[in-house]
Amino acid sequence: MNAPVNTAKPRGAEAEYFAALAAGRLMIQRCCDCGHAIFHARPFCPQCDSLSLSWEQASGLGTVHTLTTVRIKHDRPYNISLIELDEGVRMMGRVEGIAPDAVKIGMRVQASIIDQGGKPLVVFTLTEAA
Amino acid sequence: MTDAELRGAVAIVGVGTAGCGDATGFSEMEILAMAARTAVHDAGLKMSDIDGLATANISAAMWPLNVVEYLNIRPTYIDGTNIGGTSFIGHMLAPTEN
Repeated sequence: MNAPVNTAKPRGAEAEYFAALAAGRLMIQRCCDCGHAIFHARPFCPQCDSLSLSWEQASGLGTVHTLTTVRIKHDRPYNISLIELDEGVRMMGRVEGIAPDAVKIGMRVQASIIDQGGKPLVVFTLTEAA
Repeated sequence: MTDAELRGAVAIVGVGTAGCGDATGFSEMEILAMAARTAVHDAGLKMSDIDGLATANISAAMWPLNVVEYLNIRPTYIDGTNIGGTSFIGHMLAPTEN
């Protein structure tokens, strides 16, 4: 009897998300049945249980919902925020480009994708209007 | 607790598996979620009916919280005890002592 074929081809939603991210696109899912915006990527809608989900590219625009300053290394504190994307999902990420203590709830931010240790990572900077 | 007292003390009312065999390209959370979804449906329930969670994994320090968020459930009972491969036997034993 042959062993199951291991195709090594990404198939899960999370793998799809990271493949898109590596290609420079921040993607979220939307439920085709109830319209719920979904992040992190998952196999079914957490709101209505539907297996029918579509992908869409996020605008990357969002608002700081809440935040903290991490002081593991005292000389290099950094921000971690929960960002509410305009599409209606929340994701965690660093707000960069300003002192961590200067980040405030309600600030408008824009996502960008950087390379950190060979992996794509979403970080945020203040929008021009801010 | 004796074997006789254990008998019928808890009931498995739905089961589900996912990713058995080849699950290449799926995260452990995706496999868990699909198995959980199958089990919930097998029990004739909806995910929103679920008010308790027992789960164990070594990939996150607060794994049960990740699962709660992922499945969008609001359990009043959570057991995240991790005692290796026998975790899930322990998870079923705990409710018999409540």
